[in-house]
Amino acid sequence: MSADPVLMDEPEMLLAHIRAAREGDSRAFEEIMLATERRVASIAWHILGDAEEVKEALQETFLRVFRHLGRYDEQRDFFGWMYRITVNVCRDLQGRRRRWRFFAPIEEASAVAAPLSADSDVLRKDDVAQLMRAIDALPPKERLAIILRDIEEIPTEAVAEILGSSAATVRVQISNARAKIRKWIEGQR
Amino acid sequence: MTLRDEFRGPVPLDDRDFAEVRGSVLAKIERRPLFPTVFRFAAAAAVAAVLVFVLIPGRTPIPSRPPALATKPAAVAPVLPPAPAMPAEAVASKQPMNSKSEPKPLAVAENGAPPSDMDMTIQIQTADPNVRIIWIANR
Repeated sequence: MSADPVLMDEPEMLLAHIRAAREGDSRAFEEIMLATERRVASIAWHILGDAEEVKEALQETFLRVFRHLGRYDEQRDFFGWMYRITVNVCRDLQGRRRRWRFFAPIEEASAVAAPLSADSDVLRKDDVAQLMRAIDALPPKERLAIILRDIEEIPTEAVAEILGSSAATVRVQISNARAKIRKWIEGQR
Repeated sequence: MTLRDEFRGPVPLDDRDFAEVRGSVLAKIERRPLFPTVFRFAAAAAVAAVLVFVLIPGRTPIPSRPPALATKPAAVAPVLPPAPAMPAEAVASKQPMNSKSEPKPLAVAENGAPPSDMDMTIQIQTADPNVRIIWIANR
């Protein structure tokens, strides 16, 4: 797993910041935020696909991290622990969004279900759009597994830790997800 | 371009957005410890007050209720007549015929006069010699 290089490459410095933040040093916590915000935002963006929700997820993730910093086990990977919180925050937001979507008008709901990036004209539009829709159509657990493994490029063992599953389970989920995506895209052609 | 960049495109937040989130988080974090500090101070003050109450010697305790009532009565003794004025038959005739209970001692007034048929007096001497409970009940 990777974050910004400054703290990533210096675990002792990261640990010092974590310990200081635990004692209430907001300056140290700001350093941690600076080191991790882009990666946290990336995960949230790939799960949620909505810029405003990403900001909300980012803020809630950092607040939860700060609140539970006392429970963090220093023997474990800090970034994995933080990404696990990120995924949980995104799940909560998705749950809330599902409840809202139940009441939303049909046009609005379909816009949420199939977001398109403003930059998509520079990409292979069809392939990327199909891939996005295929991933969005996956069951939640397979979707998270494939986003973390194939899109965020997080190792399977770390994905398992983030999702609270075994590595074997995650491998099966990823394999199923890839097969479904392939089938979905072939079906669209 | 990697799949990460292709899928949904790059994260649509700029430096200003990140700074805004950071500022908001820091504002909430810096506001949070206020309450625990206040609670900690209040708890410490309460503990100190209790310790002062309990540990400082020489304080006279404030009696919450009279000591005589706080203790068990030392003796409960109906005052028996020094010399029954009524004949034994008269007393026996007042007992119920089929009563299985022990005959109750006849209470008389403190002045030694025969009790009336209407009331009974019981005096209870408490541990305090100056306090005596007098119970007058109808028969």
